[in-house]
Amino acid sequence: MSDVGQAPPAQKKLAGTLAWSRTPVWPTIVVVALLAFIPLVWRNDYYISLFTLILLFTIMTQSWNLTIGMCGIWNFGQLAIIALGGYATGLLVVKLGMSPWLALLGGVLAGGVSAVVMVLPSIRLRGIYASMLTFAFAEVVRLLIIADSTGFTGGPFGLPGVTGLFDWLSPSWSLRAYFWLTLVISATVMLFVHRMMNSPFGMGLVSLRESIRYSIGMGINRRVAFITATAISGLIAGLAGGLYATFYHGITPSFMGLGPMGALVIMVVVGGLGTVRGPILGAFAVTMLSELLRDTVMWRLVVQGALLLIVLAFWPAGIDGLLERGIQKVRSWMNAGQEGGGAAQPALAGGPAVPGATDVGAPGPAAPVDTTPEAPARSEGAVTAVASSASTKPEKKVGRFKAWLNADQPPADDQTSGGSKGTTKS
Amino acid sequence: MLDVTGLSAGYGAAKVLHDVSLTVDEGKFVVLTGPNGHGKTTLLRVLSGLLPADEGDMLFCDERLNGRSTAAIVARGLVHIPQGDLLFVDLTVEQNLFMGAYLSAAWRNRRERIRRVYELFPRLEERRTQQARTLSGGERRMLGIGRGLMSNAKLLMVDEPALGLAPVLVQEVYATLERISRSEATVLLVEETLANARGIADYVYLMDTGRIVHEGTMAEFGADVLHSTYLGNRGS
Amino acid sequence: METLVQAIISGLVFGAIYAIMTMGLTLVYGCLRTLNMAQGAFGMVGGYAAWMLTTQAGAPPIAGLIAGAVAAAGIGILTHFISIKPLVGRKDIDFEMTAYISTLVVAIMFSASIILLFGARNKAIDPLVEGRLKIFGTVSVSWQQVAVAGVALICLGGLSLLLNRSRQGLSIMAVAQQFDAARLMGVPAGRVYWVTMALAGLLGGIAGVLLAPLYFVSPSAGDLPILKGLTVAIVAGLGSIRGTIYAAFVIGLIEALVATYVGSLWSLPVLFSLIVVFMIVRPYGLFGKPEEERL
Repeated sequence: MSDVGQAPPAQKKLAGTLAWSRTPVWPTIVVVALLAFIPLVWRNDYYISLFTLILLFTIMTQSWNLTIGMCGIWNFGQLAIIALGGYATGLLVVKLGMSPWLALLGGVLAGGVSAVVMVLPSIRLRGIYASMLTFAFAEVVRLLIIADSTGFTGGPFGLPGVTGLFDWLSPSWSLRAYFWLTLVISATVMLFVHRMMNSPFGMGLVSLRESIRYSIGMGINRRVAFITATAISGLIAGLAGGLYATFYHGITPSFMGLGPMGALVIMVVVGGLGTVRGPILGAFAVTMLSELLRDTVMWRLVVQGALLLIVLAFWPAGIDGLLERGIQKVRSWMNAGQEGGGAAQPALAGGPAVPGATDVGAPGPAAPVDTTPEAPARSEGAVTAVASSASTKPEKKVGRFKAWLNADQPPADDQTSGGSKGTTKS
Repeated sequence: MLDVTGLSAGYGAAKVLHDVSLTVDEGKFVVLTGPNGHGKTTLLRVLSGLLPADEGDMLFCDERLNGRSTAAIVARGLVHIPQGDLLFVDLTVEQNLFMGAYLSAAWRNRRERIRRVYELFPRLEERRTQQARTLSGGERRMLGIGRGLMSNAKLLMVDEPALGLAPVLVQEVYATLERISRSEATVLLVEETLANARGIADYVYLMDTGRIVHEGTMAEFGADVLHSTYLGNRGS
Repeated sequence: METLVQAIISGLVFGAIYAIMTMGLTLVYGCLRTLNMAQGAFGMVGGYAAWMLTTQAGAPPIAGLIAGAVAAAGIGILTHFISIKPLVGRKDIDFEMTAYISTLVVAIMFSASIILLFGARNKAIDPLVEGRLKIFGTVSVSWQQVAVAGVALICLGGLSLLLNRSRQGLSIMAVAQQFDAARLMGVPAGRVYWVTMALAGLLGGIAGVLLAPLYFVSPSAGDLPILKGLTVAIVAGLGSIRGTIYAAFVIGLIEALVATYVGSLWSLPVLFSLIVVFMIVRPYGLFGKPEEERL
């Protein structure tokens, strides 16, 4: 693995090839091919549609994970963005008679634009304020739609009559077509995210999440990085929304309510925040759980909520965290006695757990002796990661990103290229 | 009164205190000195229960402090007055003082105790109803010390009372501390500049990189000892 | 003119309720650095407790108010133990954000549990007092509004006494302002935490019972209050007690004026736009401290 300080152009190439080779393209294709058989052999339409819904959720959770897990920005308006994508698609079909496929592109665009608009004001703000702002935005959107009595958006009852993508097939085959489409899209998104997170850009994002001041000091332009990540997240979200609207032939404002949002949060957190597999595992786990509790609808919310609380209390790294630990154990067992067994895949931009954990340390003593609890730890980007293992990761990632930024300059040059804009003062 | 033997402590993997031993006899004015960042404040934090001790024993009035909660330690009369005052800035002077008497025994007598504090610090009485944030540096220091006195303290551990104060104020603070040590409570002082405590200190401990490297009466602390510690061979 | 006065009266009364309701948010944020998204749920539960006592058991309305307050206080303590306490002092998570999500999820869970116990339908509850009092012209104020204002003012007064004079109250403020020093005085932070949550519950419950005759007792009765509470808190500046009171009345008045002159459906979007504006222009609110770093 190349260290910081090598000739930039060579390093850039190296980083590129390394990232690509680590992305599990072939395994994913195999898995997708296997899964694609399901609708062919299984007759039960209900379960096919359930799985399609799960796949749709995976697209949604992955899009959200880009901003929350990767950037540490809590965009609570994600559902509104997805919904706006859905509404855009729906309106284009219903009002302008566009083909749903074209309208889908409109939804994608709407998602990207609204995501950027929603995030722009909150970039300068600290975590909690930023998320409240996005929450407020989302509520405004939802309430405006509900208050809409002109019939344009359909108001509180939603927008009906959106043509599906495969309506020219029989319902059964249309369902299966959707399954395959969402399967392929979800897998593509996953590969894309994986590739992105292992690129210098993605690692810059993660280092921003880990330690803002340090990263900015290293020359990463925070705003550009966040906006780009948000835009990508929005585009994917818009796509999910459009798919949803055409799949269910309509969309309503209740889609953006507190309940669905809670479910999305639970999926992402339980799955494992900030990881590539997490959102997929979470969507799967939570939806299956809901299915099991299908008859007792209201218990479902309580149980899901309890699940989240338990996960937060005991396994904040989520299912993915548990999985990762298991894999590590197997790996080290297999590599016992061989070299290199330990430093396995930090590549998965992997969650040092939950909601944007930074290398915190409340300014003060360690866990006290008695039951007197600590002050609720305030998150601050630590100026320098002291004696923690996390310090090596941002350093390496940030170094590569900087190298990428300065690819055409001689190594000894003064590093002011991307850095001057990324100061702490907004 | 206070007996520390072989104390070691730190923050996680970073060890700060190594085998520290220290004694404070009742009524004696003891000073802990040494370069900044070498563990003096950490020692106080361990003594007041904010930080756990890894090794060693702490005895206060023949009772073991190890593992006890801060509330229990304060109840026993060992009070830590922190560096930088850490006042409750939006509360009034009087409210800050009352908070010093939080523990029930002291709370019941708080009005008496506050009168004693006002005797020592008349300026605080003038500013009773003012918010702590409006006080000057010297007044804040007085409030911090007064607050520590409000509990029925037997031993006051004062951390850097001279910090950030003009020399005139430093003298005033030290004069008050001397008064306190004679009539109210025993004082253990952390002071980076030993000269400030000249004429007042009965016994001095010198701490360097978390170890006690020298101890003795004030007279035994010549310039050479301090120079070699502060300027030379830091041993790290 | 008379519509204006009517609107102002309504605004002030609501302002008083919002002040109580948001005070819970403020105290919890100041002391525990947590944005308690379950604050609205406290009011919702309080409403149900009051409903049970008054409509089902036939007790007088005042008993309903007390029951609501007590029940909500209990819920507050429960919330603390299941969603906040497990997170305190941990280094592996970002406390502020995690607690935010935790309390949000808990709020949803309370709602769902209520549906399980009582069903999803709205329930009506009688106001504390009936009748109206004419002031002049067409301007009148209902006795309920007077009662509400009265209760609210008593609460605020009591709270002020509690916080400024009593040992427990002072310790809450002390922990909020300077945690380390509070510990050095022997304040048991753990106890202060759940006492604060209980207090937040109490206040939320009272607000909920006061609002219940107007907005019905329902599982989603907590949704609007938390949104309004957030608005007030942001305008005030998170953690500022004085700011909360001022901001609550300002928001109450704005809401009433918008509802009267533009239309009640618009009051919420306006309020949220206010949040947005404040966030952009002055995120630490009118009285908040700029030390609350923006970055």
